[in-house]
Amino acid sequence: MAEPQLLREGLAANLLGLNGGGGLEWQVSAYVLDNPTPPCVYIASGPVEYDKTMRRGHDDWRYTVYALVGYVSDIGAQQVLDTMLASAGPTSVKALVESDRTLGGAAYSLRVESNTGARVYTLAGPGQSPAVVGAEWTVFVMASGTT
Amino acid sequence: MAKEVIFDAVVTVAGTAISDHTQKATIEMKADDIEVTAMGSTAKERRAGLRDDQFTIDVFQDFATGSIDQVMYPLLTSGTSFVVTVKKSSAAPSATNPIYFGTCILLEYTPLDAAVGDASQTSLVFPTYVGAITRGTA
Repeated sequence: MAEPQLLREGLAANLLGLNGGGGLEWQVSAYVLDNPTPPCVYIASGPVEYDKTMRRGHDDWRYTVYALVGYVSDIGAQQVLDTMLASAGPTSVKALVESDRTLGGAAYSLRVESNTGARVYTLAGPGQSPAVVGAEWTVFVMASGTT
Repeated sequence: MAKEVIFDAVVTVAGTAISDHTQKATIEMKADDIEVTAMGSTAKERRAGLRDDQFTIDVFQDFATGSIDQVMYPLLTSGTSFVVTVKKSSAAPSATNPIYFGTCILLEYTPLDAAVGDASQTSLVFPTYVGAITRGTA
């Protein structure tokens, strides 16, 4: 079967390109962060549909990419988020995730299906400002069911 | 006899296993309906005519070397016959896991049938080239 770890890490590797495009130093994690501090991006696994073909040929995976950009009071953070929501450009999450659709050979193909648009998140950690702007992207991944 | 869920069917076309790209396999075996009803009959009377069998395999398209497209396109353009086999599981053929096989021809091929964002899938139809589909148990 596809290695979920490789799928997550492949998505995160594609997102490392964020650090080259927008001037921010992003924390990019393949796993959900316990205490996320913006700017950060992390990957959460979603539903999996097994047995899309005979003989475990392939499964369909869905992942959610979470991005927390900065405080709501910072207009600059919202401007950066706009560039991330765009379908193209150096900080486009869709373009970055789809820059290697095979995730280093771990997947057959993938597509960024949608994003939620800008959202305001409340962070509950000590010393954290409560209102952070960010967004979520849904990624569809086709991967082998056997290798 | 237990009801069962199919997930392990084996499909080969011209010697190439395409099971891991197959979403659905259909074996259709039918004969022409020849009506021989005569005067005095109170209901229609029928005889079996010529057999007209075919396999229909719904697959996820793949243009990689040796995969779906590279197998199907030459079969269409050459017009040659080839063997198609289908069995419901990867176990050896037996009375409870019969293998259906026939000498077929590919008369139409749709390499691409997908809208934007779709998984690329296509349906392959293999009518028999000569003879009927046969059921084997060994």
